[in-house]
Amino acid sequence: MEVKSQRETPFLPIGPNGREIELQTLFADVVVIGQGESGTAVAAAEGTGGVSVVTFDANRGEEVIGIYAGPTVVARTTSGMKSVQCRRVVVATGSSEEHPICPGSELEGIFTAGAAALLGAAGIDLGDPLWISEHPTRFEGDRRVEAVVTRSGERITASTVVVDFGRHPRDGLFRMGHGLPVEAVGSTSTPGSLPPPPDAGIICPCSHVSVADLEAVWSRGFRHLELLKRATLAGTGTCQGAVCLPHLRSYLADKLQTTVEAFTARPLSRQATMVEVAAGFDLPAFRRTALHDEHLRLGAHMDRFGGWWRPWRYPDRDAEYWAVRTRVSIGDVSTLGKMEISGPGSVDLLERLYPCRVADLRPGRVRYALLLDERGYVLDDGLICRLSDDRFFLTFTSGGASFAEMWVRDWAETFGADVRILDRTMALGAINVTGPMAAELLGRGGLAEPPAYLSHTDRDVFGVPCRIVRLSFTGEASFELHHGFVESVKLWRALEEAGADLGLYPHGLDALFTLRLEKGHFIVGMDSEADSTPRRLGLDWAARLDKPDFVGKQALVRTNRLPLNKRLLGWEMQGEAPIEGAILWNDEEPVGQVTSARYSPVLGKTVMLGWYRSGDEPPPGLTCDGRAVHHAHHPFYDPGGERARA
Amino acid sequence: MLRFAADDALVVGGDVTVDDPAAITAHDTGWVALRLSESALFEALAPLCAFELRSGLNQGMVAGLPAKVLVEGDESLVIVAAPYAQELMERMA
Repeated sequence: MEVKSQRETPFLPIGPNGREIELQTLFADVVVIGQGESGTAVAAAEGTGGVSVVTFDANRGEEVIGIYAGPTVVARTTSGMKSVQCRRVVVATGSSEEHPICPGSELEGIFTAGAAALLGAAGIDLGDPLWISEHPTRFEGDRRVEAVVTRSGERITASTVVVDFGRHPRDGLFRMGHGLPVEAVGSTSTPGSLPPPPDAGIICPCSHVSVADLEAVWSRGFRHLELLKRATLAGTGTCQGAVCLPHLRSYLADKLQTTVEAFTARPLSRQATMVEVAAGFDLPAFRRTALHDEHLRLGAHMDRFGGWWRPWRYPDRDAEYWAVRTRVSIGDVSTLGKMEISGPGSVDLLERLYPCRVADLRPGRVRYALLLDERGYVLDDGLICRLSDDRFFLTFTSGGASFAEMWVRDWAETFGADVRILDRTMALGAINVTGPMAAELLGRGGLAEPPAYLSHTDRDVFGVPCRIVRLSFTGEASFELHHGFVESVKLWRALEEAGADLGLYPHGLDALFTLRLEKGHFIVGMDSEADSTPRRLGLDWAARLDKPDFVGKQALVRTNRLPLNKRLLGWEMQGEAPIEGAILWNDEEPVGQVTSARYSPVLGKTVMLGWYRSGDEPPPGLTCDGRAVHHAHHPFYDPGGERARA
Repeated sequence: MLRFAADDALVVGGDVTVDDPAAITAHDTGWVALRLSESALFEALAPLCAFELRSGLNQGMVAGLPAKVLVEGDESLVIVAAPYAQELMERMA
């Protein structure tokens, strides 16, 4: 498998002013949005007695684009994006003028009173306009207004009309803060009276929604303002309902003969560029194990996997594989999720959490375990190591570790379990020593008696205190050496040196994926799907339905009664491995897909795991990648497991 | 002693005795600390913090990474899990 590097990910474009947009995080007691008369007064009154106040004003080029939980106020400003975490928000964004909605209301020459005042202040003479304070029936004209027809039927000739119908609170940000400590002051808090219900014309100039559009939606049964908004997009444009909202409410109030509240406001309240939205965003960090530089020293190609930088392949790919199968190899498995749990309630908690038995696991022993969600779907897998009667060491997959920690803590709290939990994922390194000569190499490090298969012990190896867990993911005898983070390099180099004459060569993920596939081990998230139950994965044995209860049991009991409609099966074919995701065909019919496929050097054929979309046995004659493929039981390699136990 | 949570504390440079017999005490080498002067703290670090720096132990995202900042007098420590240390240094550079 070729993993595409994220190094090829393009950078986000820089801002229009030729530089990246910065995000500044501020903290304040109070944020006041709007610095008109009311806002200025509030800011002055609040800013006494040690109360910190941050103000924003669109007239200063500071546009608040959203109020989020916290509350957090985010604004785009001429000096970049600002995010303010505060205790309280005061919205003093004033009011907006009521616009005319009737036929002809989009003609040139029609101004609101506010616009006329601004033009006048700018020295633009509007001549002798006709002022009207009541909504007309229509405006007449070709491109420019020529006359106004009033509701009484009078036709008044005018080439310029100024409308003054009153104002409505510009309260979008206030409504956005629903449930948060956000208050409106001044005209933002003063409701205006609704205009007469519109019967024709463009009601939402931003989205060009007409009253006819509203009628069409109404006739389809949309009776709620939120639905009207969604169906027509009225109120979703640039002004976010400042123009159309009073008219929409009036339209619906008339239809329903009841009061209609304003629709919900959500960020963004202003337009923002992608680079502004991305300001301050960091790409997810990929962690480095303590052995990162060792891998580089050995010429490894590193890649990102499961939230970590991991060695994908060392210079000699074949040597990695054959060292495991015939000699001895070491692999960096520091990325595995690791957790310690103790307390009088630990056995009970783990019994309820895991689908396998836990109480009968003796101290010193190890058990493979699935982690299920409430629907019985496999979330993760790993090991349970019993340290003492009420103390356990758990491992999880590298990619699933963070979620698993949350999962265990969440259920511990839910059950009220008397336990202590310590995540050790980033505190411990781990090296997997694997291969037929693994025990011999550990013996050179002072481990005279390595633990038996599926056992663990705490011993020093090459002078490094280790928790040695014996299992097998590669199919050969394998010992995970869990140790303190700062000891990793010392231990790795000691193993390298002592294993040199044994033919030791390290292995990366690429080789590991072939080795584990030969053993038929699935990888959560790679081979499993979101709805993979133990039964679908062929792991019924890992879920003990005779236990009193565990997370997911009820779902398994129920779904196990249903016909099995898909299974993860083993497959074999000759030649090179097809791409992962390749379709399994029965003549012209797709019957499944490959999740993992590798050419097996030791078996001389391609082995695969893949989903078969039926509970029946696959028929002969299936094809994949234009070649014959047949179902084969796995493990493909060492099916009796003698090598792992050796 | 840095108390990260009600049930989680890190003791730096000393032994610890815990009354709780079920407590998990472990020698932990999985942390890296960067020492910063007061000026560096507020000039270089504060803009990268997604939280308000206050005296004492602060926890949250620093340059997009989970970290702890201990502010004490003229000096401060940025404490980060060792696997994040290199990434943090690169992001702060």
